[in-house]
Amino acid sequence: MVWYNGAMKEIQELKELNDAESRKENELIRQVQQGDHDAFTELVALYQRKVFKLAFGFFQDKDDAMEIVQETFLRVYEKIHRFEHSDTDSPTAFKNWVYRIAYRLCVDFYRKFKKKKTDDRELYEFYENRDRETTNPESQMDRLHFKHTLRKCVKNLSKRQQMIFMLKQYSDLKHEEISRILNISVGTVKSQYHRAVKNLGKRLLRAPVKGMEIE
Amino acid sequence: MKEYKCKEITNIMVDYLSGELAGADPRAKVMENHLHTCSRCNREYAVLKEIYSETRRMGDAAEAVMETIDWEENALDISRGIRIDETRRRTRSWRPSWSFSLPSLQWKPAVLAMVGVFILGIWLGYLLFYQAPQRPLALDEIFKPGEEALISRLETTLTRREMQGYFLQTQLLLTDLMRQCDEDGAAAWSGGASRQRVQALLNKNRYFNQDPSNPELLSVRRLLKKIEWLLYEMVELDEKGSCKDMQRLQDYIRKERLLLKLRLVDKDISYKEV
Repeated sequence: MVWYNGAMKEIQELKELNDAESRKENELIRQVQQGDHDAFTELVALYQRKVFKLAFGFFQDKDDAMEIVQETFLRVYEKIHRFEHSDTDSPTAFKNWVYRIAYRLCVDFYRKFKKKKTDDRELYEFYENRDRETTNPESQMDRLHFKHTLRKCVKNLSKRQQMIFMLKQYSDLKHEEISRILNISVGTVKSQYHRAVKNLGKRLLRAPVKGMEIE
Repeated sequence: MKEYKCKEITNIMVDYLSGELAGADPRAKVMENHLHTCSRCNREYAVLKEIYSETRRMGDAAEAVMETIDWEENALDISRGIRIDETRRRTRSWRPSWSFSLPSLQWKPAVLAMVGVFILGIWLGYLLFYQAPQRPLALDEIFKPGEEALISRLETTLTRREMQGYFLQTQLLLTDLMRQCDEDGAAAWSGGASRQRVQALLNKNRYFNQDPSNPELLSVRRLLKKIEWLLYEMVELDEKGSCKDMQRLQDYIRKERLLLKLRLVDKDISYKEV
């Protein structure tokens, strides 16, 4: 019984901590809405890593991801006055909102500038660095090919599947979080995620990918 | 039946690889057993596993890159950039939107004044120097109806005087011609001088013929034609003049009664003038 009480106490503490964080976040949002720049800096500090990770998943490039981070928070600042939030709302409402903005920016940015650039740059980097690599360059090359094919296949998924796959894989979000970001049910997220992974598997099986060791 | 089972196994694979399956879940065991027997699912599993490890590697790469970034500084940078942007926007907002093209407000009156002076100058220049393009005037615009008749009358009078002179000269010439080849009149026709007189008369004759619409001349046109023919014949006469040719001309003058006609016309014209 002692361990149970201890565990319950820990859970209670964690919940309180979460509530405190949520309250703090709401307070920050209110301050930013009143024009407090320091509060905005704190908000940025809270979410910039998450946005970066999502953008890095998209572009595999530090500079591009940083650009998305900057642009995302610029948009957040511009629109935060329209963001209505109360303590009764879901504690992740703001986070989901930021993710939505970042995701849309990534899609726009990718459509405008990045169609072919990424693959070429990666190949170039590979040839530049291969002498320094300690592992077998051939298997490195195969991995790179696999990576390219995977990325192409991801781009060929339907828009919704692509979105869910990226949010799940690159940002480590849970199904519930994704469902709130995209405003769809958890069941839909789950089924679409399954379908996305299965589609990728089928396409990659069909595509002649070198270096796929089959156990 | 196998088809359905494979489908189900694929679902379990996805759950398993994405960490949704707890370690003690019996479905994991079912999947493992199936993979030993089904080569197709085995291949699929290999591919899915590779997808997950690849995306995990991407996540690791992201973590590695994130280690190199000074996040505190980045947050401050973003906040600072937004503050600068905002200040700029606020300082810009008091100025009316249409003034953006002018370099500064101080220049605006000067530019407006210059434009005003320029437009005023063009307007004044137009008022002072502009002349409508001129077209040639018609006769009835220059003279009133009475005046025009006067001019016409004057013209007719002048023509008539000229004609009187012409007829007089012609009479004298023809009289000289008629006296040629008599017993005593051989000296009257001196070639060069006579020819000059004939040519002067021919010039005048041509001048009268140029104005066919003159009503004064219509009545004497036939006479003028005959005299013109005669004058041309006289130009052709030799220096000394052969009597045969001269007699032919004299016969023509007598036959046509040219001298008489000339005298009558001369009188007629003089009468009209009075």
